[in-house]
Amino acid sequence: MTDAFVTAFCLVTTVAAYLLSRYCARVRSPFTTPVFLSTALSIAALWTAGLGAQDYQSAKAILTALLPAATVALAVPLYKNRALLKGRFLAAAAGIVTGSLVTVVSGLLLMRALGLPEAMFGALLVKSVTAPIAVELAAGIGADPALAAGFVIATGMIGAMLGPVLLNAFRVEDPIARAVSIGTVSHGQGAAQMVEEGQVQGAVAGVAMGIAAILSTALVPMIAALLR
Amino acid sequence: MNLSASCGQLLWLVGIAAVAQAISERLPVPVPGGVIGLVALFALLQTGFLKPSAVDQAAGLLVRHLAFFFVPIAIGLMGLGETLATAAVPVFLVLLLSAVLGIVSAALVTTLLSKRRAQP
Repeated sequence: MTDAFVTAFCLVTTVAAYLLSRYCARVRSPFTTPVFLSTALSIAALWTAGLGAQDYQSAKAILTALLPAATVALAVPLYKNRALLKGRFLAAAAGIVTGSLVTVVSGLLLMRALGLPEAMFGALLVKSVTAPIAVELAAGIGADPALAAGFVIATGMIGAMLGPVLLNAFRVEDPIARAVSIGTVSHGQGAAQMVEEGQVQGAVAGVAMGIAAILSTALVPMIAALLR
Repeated sequence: MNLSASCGQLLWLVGIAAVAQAISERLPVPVPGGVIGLVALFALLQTGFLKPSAVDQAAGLLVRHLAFFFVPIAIGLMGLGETLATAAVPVFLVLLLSAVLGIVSAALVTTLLSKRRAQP
């Protein structure tokens, strides 16, 4: 297959998988989470066609070109619902700090308990940070950027799939608490899932993601130094 | 939905994102370009430099399909099979449990502090 054909195949596959999973999302379940189902369907199609992650690179560049603009667009629902957010900033900030610390510290303790190699600890520190920054932070502390990216994506997927169900189980109904917690731990993928609950939830999760990323930028190098 | 109007709106969003990305690359600390752009657009709306109607159709469309943009990124997990071959199960457990603890603790703290504030 020529490169152009491979790229075209990847583009069509991804769009078709997304449209199909949007249709399936009418049935609410962790397995119909659009990011999960679209990804699973696309990987299955690529794998069947004998293609790997390398072959997908140019399609990925095309398909993610509008992601920064989409992140910026979250300002609109945030602005339209600004009255809802009044007086909630401190509670949200406390939630972001708590979530960021709890997820990293519990992750480190669990890794130790399960006897995982220390070479993975660095990637774990950045797992809840939005991907572009996580890769940069990982490089800064000498962690494997590819492993870090994998941890980031898996964490995003876990939060997007299970976060809403989990919060229902704990009877967290407040839209801001839901958005803050999932945005803090599961960054962009979490924010995208929160959009399914409402645009304002998506926007709040996007802001939580940003604040958590800035917080991690400050804390990760310190925690990494302590671990050495 | 008017297509040409939406394209003009999209240009605003893409333009803000591009400027924000350029700023992000020049900052001494890593702050995501998208987040700088989000704050910038919020400021433009808040100060009245930009009316919500100047961007809201394109913004609504992009936000509704935000999940789409993460699919190509998540497909990158395909390349990780070999790195994790031996430790996939314990690694998955760690990521799962730590995400659960992080989400629940953040949600409970936010809820608790919001309630305390709401009570006189």
